[in-house]
Amino acid sequence: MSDIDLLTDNLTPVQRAAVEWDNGALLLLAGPGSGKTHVLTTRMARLLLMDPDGKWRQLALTFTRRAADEMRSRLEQLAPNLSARVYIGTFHSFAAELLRQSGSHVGVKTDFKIYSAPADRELLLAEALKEADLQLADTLPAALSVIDGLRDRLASPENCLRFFKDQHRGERYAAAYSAYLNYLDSENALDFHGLLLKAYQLLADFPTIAERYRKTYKYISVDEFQDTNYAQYSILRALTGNSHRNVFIVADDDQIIYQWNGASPQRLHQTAQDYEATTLQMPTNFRCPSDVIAMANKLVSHNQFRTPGKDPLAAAKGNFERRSSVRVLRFDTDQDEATGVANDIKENHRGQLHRVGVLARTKATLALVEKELTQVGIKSKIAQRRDNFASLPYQWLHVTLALAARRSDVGTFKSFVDASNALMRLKLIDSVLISDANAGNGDLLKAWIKGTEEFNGDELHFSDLIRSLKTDLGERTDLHKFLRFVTTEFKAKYEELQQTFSSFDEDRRAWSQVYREIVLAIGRDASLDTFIEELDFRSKEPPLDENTVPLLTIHASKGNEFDHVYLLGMAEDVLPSIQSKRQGDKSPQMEEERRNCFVAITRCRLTLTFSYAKTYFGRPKDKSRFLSEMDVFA
Amino acid sequence: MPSNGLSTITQREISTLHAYRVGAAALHIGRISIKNFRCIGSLEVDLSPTSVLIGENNAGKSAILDAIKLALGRRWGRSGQTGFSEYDFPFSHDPAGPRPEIQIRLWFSERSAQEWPQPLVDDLSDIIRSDPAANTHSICMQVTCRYQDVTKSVDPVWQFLNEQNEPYAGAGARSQNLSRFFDYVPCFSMAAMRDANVEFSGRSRFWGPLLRSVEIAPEKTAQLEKAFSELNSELLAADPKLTAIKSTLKAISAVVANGAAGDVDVRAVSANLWEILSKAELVVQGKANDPWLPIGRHGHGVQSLASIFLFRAFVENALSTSLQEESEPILTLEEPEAHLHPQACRSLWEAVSALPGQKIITTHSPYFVQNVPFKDIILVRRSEEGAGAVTIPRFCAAAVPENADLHAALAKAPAILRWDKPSRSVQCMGAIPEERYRDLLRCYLGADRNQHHASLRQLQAASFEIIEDAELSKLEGWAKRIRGEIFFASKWLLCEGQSEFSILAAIADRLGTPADAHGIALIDYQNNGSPGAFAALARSFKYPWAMICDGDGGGNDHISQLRNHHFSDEDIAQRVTQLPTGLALEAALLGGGLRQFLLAAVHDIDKSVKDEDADILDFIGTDRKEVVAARTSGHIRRGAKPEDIPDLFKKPFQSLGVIK
Repeated sequence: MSDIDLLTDNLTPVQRAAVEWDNGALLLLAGPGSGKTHVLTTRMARLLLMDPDGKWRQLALTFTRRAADEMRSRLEQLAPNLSARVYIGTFHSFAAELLRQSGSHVGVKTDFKIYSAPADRELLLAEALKEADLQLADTLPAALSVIDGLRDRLASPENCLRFFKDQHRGERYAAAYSAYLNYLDSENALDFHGLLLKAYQLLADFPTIAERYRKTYKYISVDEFQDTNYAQYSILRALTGNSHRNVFIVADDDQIIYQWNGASPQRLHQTAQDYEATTLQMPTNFRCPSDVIAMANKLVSHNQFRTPGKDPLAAAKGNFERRSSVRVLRFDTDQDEATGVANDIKENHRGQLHRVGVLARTKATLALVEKELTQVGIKSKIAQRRDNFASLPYQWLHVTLALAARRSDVGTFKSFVDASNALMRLKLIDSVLISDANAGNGDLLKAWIKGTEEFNGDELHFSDLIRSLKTDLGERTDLHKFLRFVTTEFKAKYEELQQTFSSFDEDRRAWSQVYREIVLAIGRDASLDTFIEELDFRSKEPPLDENTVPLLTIHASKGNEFDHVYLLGMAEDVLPSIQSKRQGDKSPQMEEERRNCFVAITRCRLTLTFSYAKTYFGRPKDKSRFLSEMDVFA
Repeated sequence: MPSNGLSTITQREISTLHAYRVGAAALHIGRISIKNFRCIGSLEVDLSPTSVLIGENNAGKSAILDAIKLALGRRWGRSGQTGFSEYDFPFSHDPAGPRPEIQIRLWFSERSAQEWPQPLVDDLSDIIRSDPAANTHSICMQVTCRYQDVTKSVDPVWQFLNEQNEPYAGAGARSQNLSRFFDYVPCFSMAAMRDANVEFSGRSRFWGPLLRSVEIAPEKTAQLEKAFSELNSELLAADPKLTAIKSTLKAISAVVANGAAGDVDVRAVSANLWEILSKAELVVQGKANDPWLPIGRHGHGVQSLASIFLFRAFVENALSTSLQEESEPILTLEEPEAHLHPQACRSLWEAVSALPGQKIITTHSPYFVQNVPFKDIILVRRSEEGAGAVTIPRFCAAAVPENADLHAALAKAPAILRWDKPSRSVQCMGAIPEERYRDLLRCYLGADRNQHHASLRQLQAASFEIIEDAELSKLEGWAKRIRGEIFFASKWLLCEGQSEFSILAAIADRLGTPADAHGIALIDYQNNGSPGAFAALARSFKYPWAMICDGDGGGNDHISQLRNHHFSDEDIAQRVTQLPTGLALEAALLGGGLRQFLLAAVHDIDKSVKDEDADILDFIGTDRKEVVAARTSGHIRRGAKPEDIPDLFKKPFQSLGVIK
């Protein structure tokens, strides 16, 4: 059997049909647990193996970096040495790559920096407003989300007024939006939404550039397409034009949970039309017990905005231990619910806590459980993106690398001097060093290294670290050597550091995970600024150990699976949310809530436990309509 | 060094300019810029698929070739084996200051959309820049090298640059791009000194690898080696003396060996196939009945030619074994004409043109240059600021602000003018006529007009240096015979015909400024083309030039040709000497101190001619012009004193600056 035959050996007929799809557009409606990632990567591997000497490339767009990492490592196994011909990444990272290469046509310099952390962006907006002498009625986060929303609709400051009901408010926002963009420009920086907007402008305003990329990226795949927003879809359309049809789209309209971010069920229909795509369905679910599948089918049948003719999920598995996989726990208050669930987990899953996933619509619900789990002696952690490390030593490491990549960036330098002074007990003054550097070649890192020389070597805390910084980052750029040294040094001083900085160990584990991920994603010989970009983009939360229960919002649970799932807050005004109820029982928002519930229950492999209380925040609430819709009776 | 008067633009290196040059489908160097490398301060020049560098010794030709070789040498990295050395760095103006940084940039560009094969574009996608207007691709590679004073080490960095000539961040900065790129631009060099005895030995860079690449099947190898061994035995048996020696020598191994004794053999023929192959030599038979002689026994010319063909065989072999299908070599050849006689030199062009890929050649041979198209010629000259290079400009540009009027003005002459978006400049491909020039001026009437008008004035002046294709191809045909010489001169003196040619040469001698010694090329334009074409060529290649013509209708005609080539009246007055109204050369000679020499020449032929202007001129007529001129120049050389030479005939030499 050839390598290519081996690839398709263990597939179901429909999986095989998808894997063997060569040219033309395909819309693959893949239910939860249907093996879509496997199908996607196997198809990509097959295309490569069929033309191993070809030079053309493939593009695979994913929703998260983790998903991209997963796909990359699977592809490397299926088609060793050929995976360099595939760009796998999120829409944002692909946009960044396009702009690094061709951004000069839309006024973007190749070495722009990316602001991703909300705190940084709020600061930028505040500075921009101050500089332009503007005031907004909204808070900075609220104002940013308005500006982000405009860019998600690809509206520029000049043509954004139509999105405002209040003309006056619109004008103020147009001015603020424009000031914010100018400020980013002056910093040679882009933020996440700016990446998409600029990449779209590049491809749309310069059709020959789009043509160039569509020729090289002969095959394009998009995973989790259902959550694509307007800007992302517009980028895809501009990239492919009307002629490029080798688009392989994997989606499930029952799992759209980012409607608030611009995703919509209609986009899927439109996409099928735009690309004249053939539709294939993969409804077989290999993950969940059959009774959960039956419930999931009943639930989504209440949604109106679905792909017509969509097949119900089909269970490939039976039920866990041949009895019902589903339980419902009822409590008087939300506090009781938290306590009850904590006790239930302790009773049933002690010793295999990592197989449990606790899901809820909101973080508030999770926070209650977290407390109660602690009460019964179980560690738990709310999954949450961390933009920065939590302890000084790793914050110092991050800012040091950032400075090494941008040696004349004053903002980065100031943070670096502060972090270094605190960590190494120095008293260097940034303004003095900045003027020293400006008198020479502007290299701030070298100016700082020179500045440390006035301290006596023996008195210096971390003097070895400074020496490595000097030789490995200052005089040359040997990133990995420097990082090896830092790891060793931090290890040697572990006790001391852990005592001084409470989150040090968390960061240590987070660092080691994120470092591994980055090296897998970009290789060891990637440049320092690529490394920094990856580090900026990625979450710095520590991985969970075996004894910690992950607590996740439904949105964060996307792409995960657990043996045992607890879904809390199955009450009206919680799931479905009060906001969706205000929009009406047949509103798109209500349908999105239903899909949230669908996503949550299809995370389970063996058992599913619902819980609800009669009161939340002291107010009586009815049992969630979704329980009835699923025919679940306590 | 500013070329075509466009210093401001060329500094900014317009991304699309080189789209007008460069060759075939593979990657060719379309443009090179070099800064602070040996004798080169700052040099920028376009290259064609076959470029020929001409210049005096030490003008900087080899520095250009070496810059290319170093940049494409595949020896990037930190090992210190990169090929750069301390001696490549010029000294800074401040003796204590740091040595300036070397910078070499090579541009590779598509001439038209989709010229490069798609697999190449796909493979190099991370480093390819795009020109959206022309829909063409290009690559710019930069090598910078710093000299570390303290460690005495060199520190070169290879990078690819984006449309704004900034080093790429992101995927374009990854180091694997370099090795991938080098696969498409294999660079091979042939040095000036070629000794066939070395080139065709196993040690040779070319012959050795060629022999090593010979693949013989293992069975065949075994069979051959067995045959050699048998041959050896047969040879030893041919004279019993050999066998006797062998058994005597066997004692050696008995002494040396501790325990089991070895064996001793006498080998006349090696039993190892590679040893035999490595000694393979080239034998050449000159004519059908000549003896076959090893290449080293032939003359230098044959050796040199053989080396060039060996080089070709080596390159073709190297290309076939590895690399990408789309790879084409970049070859640098130093003085391929060495040791060849004129005819061979002339035909060498064909042999060199037939080499695969892009060729960059230095030469000192007028015979070789005779066949080189003008657009492929690069003149390398050394001045105060260092080496500079000049080619016939194919375009020029001016950075001016974009506005609606400008687009309207450009639209009136789309064949010669266009707006180049990436460089934000007007590009010009031919002479800008006065009317179009005024259209351009009218686009800028604001307060900043002076600055923009100055740029446009420069643009128009530069546009006149562009020689249009039609004229160039006429010149190619006409000027073939003299082309070789005139490019090796440093100044041009244009005169009408053969008679002027000989007499001016004699006058130059008597003025104490012999033409050859002063690098003056005398060009008799009537026989080789037209005065306008040569004057334009001189302007493009930046040769100082002067011209002398008759005072008749023909002379007027020649002067008006200069005007047609956009030479100003002021320029013409300064450079052109026209004989007095109504007078041709002979009549003008009769009116001055050289009369006696003309008369002597006439009397050499026929003593009976009377010493009267009318009789002399009548005798010369049109048939005897050349023979009389030749004899006159002989008499001038033998007898004329500087004061005999009329001012009229001194003027061209004054305007060339060789006499006061």
